[in-house]
Amino acid sequence: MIEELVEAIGQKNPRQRRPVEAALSTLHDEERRDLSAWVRHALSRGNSATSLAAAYDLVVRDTLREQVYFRRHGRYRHTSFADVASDVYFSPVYMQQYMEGLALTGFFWENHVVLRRFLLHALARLPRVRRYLEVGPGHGLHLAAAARLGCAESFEAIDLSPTSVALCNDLLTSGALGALPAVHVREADFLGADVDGPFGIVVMGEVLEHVERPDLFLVRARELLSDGGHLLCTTCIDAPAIDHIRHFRSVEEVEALLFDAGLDVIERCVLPHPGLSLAEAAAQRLAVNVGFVARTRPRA
Amino acid sequence: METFERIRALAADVFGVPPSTLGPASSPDDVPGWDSLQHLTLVAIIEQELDVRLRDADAADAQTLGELTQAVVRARAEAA
Repeated sequence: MIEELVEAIGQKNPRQRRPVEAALSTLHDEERRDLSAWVRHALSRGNSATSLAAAYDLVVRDTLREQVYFRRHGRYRHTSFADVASDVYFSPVYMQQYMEGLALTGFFWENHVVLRRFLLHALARLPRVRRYLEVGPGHGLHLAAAARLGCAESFEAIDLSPTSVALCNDLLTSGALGALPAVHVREADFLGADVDGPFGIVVMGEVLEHVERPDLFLVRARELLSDGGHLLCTTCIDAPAIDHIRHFRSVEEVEALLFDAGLDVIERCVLPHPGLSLAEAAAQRLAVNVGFVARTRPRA
Repeated sequence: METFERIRALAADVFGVPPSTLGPASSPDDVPGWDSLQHLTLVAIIEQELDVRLRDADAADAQTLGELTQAVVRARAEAA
């Protein structure tokens, strides 16, 4: 099944064949099982290997086009939520394909694989909490993995895209990734939503670069966290994509936002473009993926 | 043909292979090292050396040296 998908990807985009094959060879057994389970789930929902390859290729090509733009202009193409909302988050056809392609990058892009491990290892190590909140779960794979870990007594998630909410609910209730506890996923804008805290863990995977005011998202997360609670977040530096509107230029810039929101970084994962050092990636302005575990600072 | 020859020479430099091993159908399938990053590098060098600006989509989507050559020809025609 995976072999058929890889062959379809190679047919669709020869430039991706070798990287995907290389990535597959580095996956842990559980990751391969999750990939197989997710692909089987996607196939059961009307996809084919060809359509999944097309979804993956959509993400690859859109990202490469944005990289071309970024190299020429030194900035992201879009800077406001309105620029991308209707074409991405509220476009059911595009969003579904985009989410399916993005789910595959979690297994095929080295930095995405490592960030996923970072998040899941952190969740496995943290003390079990009463309530877990994920903001912007997207395709739902991380949310499902967190629920499977059992790092909380109850799980909630919030996403502004109706397509994402539907994909998450479908994945979570399908049994594809095993029997999971009930997870309440709802459609809302995190900043405007009526959310009752406190939560012991808040997760924001690849959210901050998608919003105009990441500072407000972090402040809101801090408000909702219990004292001693943890925020787990990932984002990216110099990493253009079709819907990235907040251009972070350094790891320090993101850490400063976390600090200003009342969150102290206790663990970080910094992943320059594969094969490059952080200094080399920064000099060439190539993408750097970052992940943080931050603990709430006691309120003054 | 002259455009292709120049692109072939630039690609040979970028990928570190003899020009004679490259043809219009050469693609990431048969050229070692032709990944996304090297593709961006090749596009940047082509644009610089041939003094041309490819369409974003052409630059991103071209899969062979022949397609890159067509992209350059198209960009020149549009600029004329």
